[in-house]
Amino acid sequence: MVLSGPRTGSMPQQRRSKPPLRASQARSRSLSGAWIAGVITVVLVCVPLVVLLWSSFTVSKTGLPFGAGSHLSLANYRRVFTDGSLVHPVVNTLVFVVGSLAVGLLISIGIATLIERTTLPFRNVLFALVVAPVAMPQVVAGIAWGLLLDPRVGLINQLLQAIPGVTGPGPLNAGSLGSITVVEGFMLVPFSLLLVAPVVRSTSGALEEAAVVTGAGRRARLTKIVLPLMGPGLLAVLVYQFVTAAQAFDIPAVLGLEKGTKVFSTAIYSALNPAVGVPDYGLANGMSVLLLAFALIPMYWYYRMVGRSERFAVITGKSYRRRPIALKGAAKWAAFVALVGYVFFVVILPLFILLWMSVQPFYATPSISALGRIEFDAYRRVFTVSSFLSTVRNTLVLGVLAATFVCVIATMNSWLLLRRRGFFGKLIDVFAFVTHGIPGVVLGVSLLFLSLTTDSHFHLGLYGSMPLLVLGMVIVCLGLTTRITTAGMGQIHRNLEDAAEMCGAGLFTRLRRITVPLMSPAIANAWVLTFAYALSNLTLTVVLASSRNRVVAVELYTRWNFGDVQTAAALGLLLTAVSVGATVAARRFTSHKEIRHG
Amino acid sequence: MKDVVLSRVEKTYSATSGGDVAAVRGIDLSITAGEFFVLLGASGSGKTTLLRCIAGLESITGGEIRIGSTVVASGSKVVPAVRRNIGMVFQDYAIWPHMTVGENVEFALRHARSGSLKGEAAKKRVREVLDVVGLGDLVNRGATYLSGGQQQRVALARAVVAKPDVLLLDEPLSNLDARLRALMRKELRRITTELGVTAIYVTHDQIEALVMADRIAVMRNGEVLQVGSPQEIYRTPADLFVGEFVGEANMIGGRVAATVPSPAGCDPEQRFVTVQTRLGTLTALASGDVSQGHDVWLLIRPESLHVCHDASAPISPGWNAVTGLVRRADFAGAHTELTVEVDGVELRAQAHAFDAMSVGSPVTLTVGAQWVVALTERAATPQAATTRDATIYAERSH
Repeated sequence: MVLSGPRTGSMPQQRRSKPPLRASQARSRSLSGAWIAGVITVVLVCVPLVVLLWSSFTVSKTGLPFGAGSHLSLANYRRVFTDGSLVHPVVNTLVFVVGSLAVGLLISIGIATLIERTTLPFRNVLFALVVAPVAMPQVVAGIAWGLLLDPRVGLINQLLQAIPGVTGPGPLNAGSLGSITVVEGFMLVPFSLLLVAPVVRSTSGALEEAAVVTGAGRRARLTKIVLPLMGPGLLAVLVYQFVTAAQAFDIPAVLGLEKGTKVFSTAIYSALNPAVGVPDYGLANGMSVLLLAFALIPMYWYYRMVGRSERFAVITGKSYRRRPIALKGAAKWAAFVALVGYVFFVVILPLFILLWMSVQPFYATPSISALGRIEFDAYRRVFTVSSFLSTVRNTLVLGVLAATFVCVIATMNSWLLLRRRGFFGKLIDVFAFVTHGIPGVVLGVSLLFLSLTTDSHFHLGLYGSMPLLVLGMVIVCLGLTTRITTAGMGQIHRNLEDAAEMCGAGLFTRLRRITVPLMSPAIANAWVLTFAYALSNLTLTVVLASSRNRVVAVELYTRWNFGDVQTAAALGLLLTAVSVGATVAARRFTSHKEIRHG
Repeated sequence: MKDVVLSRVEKTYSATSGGDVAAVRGIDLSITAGEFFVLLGASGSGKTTLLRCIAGLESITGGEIRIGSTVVASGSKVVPAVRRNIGMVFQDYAIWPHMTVGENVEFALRHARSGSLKGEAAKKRVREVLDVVGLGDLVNRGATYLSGGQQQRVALARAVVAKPDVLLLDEPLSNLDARLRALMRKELRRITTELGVTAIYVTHDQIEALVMADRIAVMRNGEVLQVGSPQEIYRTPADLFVGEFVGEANMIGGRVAATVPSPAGCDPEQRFVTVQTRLGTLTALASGDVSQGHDVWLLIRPESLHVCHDASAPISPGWNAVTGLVRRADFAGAHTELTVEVDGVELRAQAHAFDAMSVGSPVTLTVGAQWVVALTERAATPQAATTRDATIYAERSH
């Protein structure tokens, strides 16, 4: 018998083993290939921001970042704080953020309560309709609201002017701070609802039980149970959407910029693209750093609050027993009418006005007589304008390349995050989350400076190029995509990969043959969402725009600003159709694959 | 077919909250070529971690692992899992759901360390191995359309198709129902013998270990407590924990009175002692270095107690006998489980299924001295002690 327990073992004296290695270190030697993705992620996110931060502390004779005679200076910040032009955007931004959050979250909580907690008829259909605008590009929505709220000819103002005592122009003004705030609030509703609904749902079970057991009054139940339970969840949504609103660009740009109503993000843009004179890079630089801090710091705090990014998957939720509140009589119909009214006003009316405008030769209030003027010239113009083909090609190239690169990097990131953890895993966990706090306009400015700097030193021709735009889109989408692929890969037990490793398959074979095919629904989903996002993104595309990299969203924005409303409406509808189509296709693909793999 | 030698293998995880967790603490084992070796332990004993260290899926933090003449892991040197030529069967089978049975098995062949096979040769080999595990007809079946037992066989076929030097099995039967498990134990043994591979098998099921193993290593808290054949482990466990882990046991506390010569009919090479207990003086086989004056536990397996109704029947020389009252009689099919109270101590015994055992009736329990083992408590923890009968524990402190 070979008896060799630890105590009785008769092994010859070993040389003393080295101090124990940390498990992750010892393992990481064999996977040099994998953390390339981690390095890429870190470089992609950090380099532009470092350039931005560094150049904010320099000035040069030419005014260009790192231009001739560049030296360290605080002049940019001094200008930001002494220049009177900053006061307006700061005040506007605060009103805009607080106001749109109040509108967006109150509507979301109200709708979530009606849908999750009551016996409202047609709940599921209404929920889908409220969430649907998530697939509508915000630049398009902005144009629609611009048409509806136009002080002279806007449909809503025309209707309001029918009230005795109300005279035009107005009373509402599309370009006012109030209008852009409320419209941005509407923009926040679909995603807020997706985040708030599980919070409301998870509270219901505990609430019912507590009510039964203690017999506490309605007010006590609300203050002692409901709010403390929902508090953390709602706070998380609040912080996340605060960051969204703080960096919002599309609505303020489409509605407010021409009318002189600026928030932080659009003030940066107009410093770079002034109506007259040369771009003021120094001012844009200093403001960008401030806006970055304004959005990034809450986002990091939010990350610390909710912990690991997997926990973000509140949307899955646990299955609680639903004990809906039975709505009766008048209350039921009042709630139903209110919800249908919201859907009509916020979801259907903007689409309708776009459709109407796209088939009218000039702005006309919808009427029977105007029906006779219906024509399709705008659509014909869209397809026959000489630059149309190159714009569409640029848009598709941007969407396809950005989505493909992002999916590759995100999949590798998820692998590092889930399978290896360690330093890069932790870093990617932070990045996957915190990148939401990098405002698009700030990233645009950073990449602009990066391209100006590299072009002046290495003559790469990055400025205004397609590759620069693709790079920017990759960075913008990396966080969200990594979360989607991480959720997908999290469903695949690591044993499936280990089994392939034991069969002798190297890392890339394992990913290619086992992991990627199994998580293909998640990757397809991430790909299509990135594609749709790249198509509808205005912020980055307009900041980095040049004649060489013009995309549909920029074309749309330009035509709107030039007053070519018909073509803008037609183009906007087409863009919306593609975006909605892609999103629906992603859903179909996902559910199809899920069924197949049981 | 190669041997596997572990020398002072250690695996320590660095916990994020600070402080390290030792999963495997300095393990020495030598597993002979062609042997079916079982690592037996409760969950958390470090057996799966040890297996994954051998596989190369975990790095070791100290010591050395050798397979054949190759050192695959020691301090600075690590042979990655993909180059160790090891086959592995996972607890949940880890069958790739997007491939057919044939593709699952062929994958292993294509990436094999021992030279990959392709085309017709590969197809032939896949068929061959699937025939061995009895799935020859299911080559083109999608992997998700298999029962648990079939998935288990695919996992096995995949693990052995490339003729690995060592086969590792991580609780491969724990997800099967009881009947299928019993069948697969024999099947697994047949297949590994047929393939002539060194097998290391992890389980928490002591029956599985006893039925299948050539040798067993019992593990607890990252340490090996005893290595031996199933018979050795069961009959002469090294300590209290092993004794209780591998099967049902009566434990009686006592103190060694004297060393005595082997009783008639017992192995004269073995050492016997008399032990003072609450039930009187009993003769027992001495385990390890047990000697006069030591506090010991006497281990008696319920099935080795003979049950007599006749108190006046003669007692064979070298046998122990105690008399008590039947407290419970539970019919269990093949036998009846008895609980007999002897001087305030409850002993479990087995009677023939159809013996009429009435609760309250007196019985005599006899047992040969070689079936009573005197153990030290060496590796027992307070937790293990509290699971024992409190009255016995109290008796010991007198």
